[in-house]
Amino acid sequence: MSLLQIDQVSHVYKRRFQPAKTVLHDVSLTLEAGRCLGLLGSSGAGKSTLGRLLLGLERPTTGTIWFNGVDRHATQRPFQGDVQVVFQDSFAAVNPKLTAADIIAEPLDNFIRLKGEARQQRLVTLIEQVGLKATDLTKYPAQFSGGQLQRIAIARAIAAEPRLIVLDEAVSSLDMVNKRLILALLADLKRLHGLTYVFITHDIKAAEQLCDSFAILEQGRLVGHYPSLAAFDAATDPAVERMRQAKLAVHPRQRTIRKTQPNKG
Amino acid sequence: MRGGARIEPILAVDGLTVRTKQQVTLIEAVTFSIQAGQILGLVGESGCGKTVTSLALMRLLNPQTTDVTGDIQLNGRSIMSLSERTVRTIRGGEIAFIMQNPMSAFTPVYSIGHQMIETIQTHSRCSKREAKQQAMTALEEVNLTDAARLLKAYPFELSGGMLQRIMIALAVALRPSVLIADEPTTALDVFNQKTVLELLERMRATYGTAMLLISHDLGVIAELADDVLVMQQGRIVERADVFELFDRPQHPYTQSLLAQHLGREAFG
Repeated sequence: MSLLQIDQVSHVYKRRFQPAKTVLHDVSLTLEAGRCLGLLGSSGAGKSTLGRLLLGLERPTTGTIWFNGVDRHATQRPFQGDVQVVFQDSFAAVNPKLTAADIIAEPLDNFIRLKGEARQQRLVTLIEQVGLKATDLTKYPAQFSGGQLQRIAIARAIAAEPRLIVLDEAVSSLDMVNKRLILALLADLKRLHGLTYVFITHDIKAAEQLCDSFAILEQGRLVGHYPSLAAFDAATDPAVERMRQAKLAVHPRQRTIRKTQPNKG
Repeated sequence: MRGGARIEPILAVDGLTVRTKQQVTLIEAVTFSIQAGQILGLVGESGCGKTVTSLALMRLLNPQTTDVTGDIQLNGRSIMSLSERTVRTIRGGEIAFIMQNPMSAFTPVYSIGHQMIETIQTHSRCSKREAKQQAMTALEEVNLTDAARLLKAYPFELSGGMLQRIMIALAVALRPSVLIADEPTTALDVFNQKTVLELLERMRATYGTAMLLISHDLGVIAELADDVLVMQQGRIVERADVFELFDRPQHPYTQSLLAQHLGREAFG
């Protein structure tokens, strides 16, 4: 049985004074435990809406999300600790008045309920797992860089030992160096703890580094689903082709925008 | 520089240093120049001083919290000692700025048209009707169709990619001699990134705008830059022609940045 089965999910947003907008059309996907699914598409394709449905923040208009064999939205309180999220903007994702310890402890206190020394020990383990130091626990968000704060957000996401983590553009606003480090961290955590990810991104390079399978959304429709990196690399359909063409040159010799050679003084 | 007449740079920065009042050095001895039609890339990781540099060039740093020394020559005159009033006419007019986050670059309470017309009128003596016409033309230049409807729209009704194109349209309308583009594509998806870079290149080719292109994405630099400055902890550690930099990086820091950039590609 797959950990996650998205079964013919459609989602409609009702709007005031405007016709309702269907943002997801009949999307079906499956994801096995311990794997990472890349959810790719341009802005407005419906990636984040699907993420919100997985988190239980919204209920699909039609269709079912089966999580571990259970209808995710059948119960009154679909959110439990088993699905966590890491957002793009880490500064917006944390309360600036809480310390790193408070931030990481929130899911811990909600779902695991550790006390005293055991709780403190767990916080230390968590912050060290994401490559920060125990002394960082007493710091506030403003004292961290974007990359460090994203590590705190990841520590918070893994704190309650979730089955699935939704990474919604989790590396998109990081600089090159941090992006690489955070991707490596996510890959390590996945391997060590058997974590399962849904990685929402428009960054094809980042997706290729982390994901095992790839789904492409365009205007709310699933237009491609590739079970492996090899299949994704070999794909020739127009959606993947458009993504490849949107990639920027790696070396100035491959540049396509600036056709003229640099002017020499 | 080969023989012939020396080309005067549009923007010449000499020994630019910014310190906080607590004597923390943010950038130190930054020296570079840009000529008309030239794109100078500025790369470095978060916190290295890229944005402080661009704010200093726009004279936007708060004088109560920072000390700026060194010299900035724009079109042959120093802007360091100009009054705030004079600087305000230069800002936007002679030197324009495109920021990373187009969502926060516009005020949410006025329509795009209101904001564009106001900005155009601030920098050129023209009627509201003429300013509106200039705004429409500029929007068309950045391939935004239905300009009349866009002018009536409010920022929240438009996507990030669209707002960034409107920012560029505004810069196009003002015809600055220098454009500072601070991470112009970072907040955009890959499809919009390429469009925005194409628009910058078109602006450069059409109007000969000199550009400082700030990015941590070496892909952006590879696409557009003529020369590249590499900044580390507030200092320029290397300046080279873009091809030279990618082929033969000299400084260890540049080498590590490139190894990561190229390595990621090899990995994919």
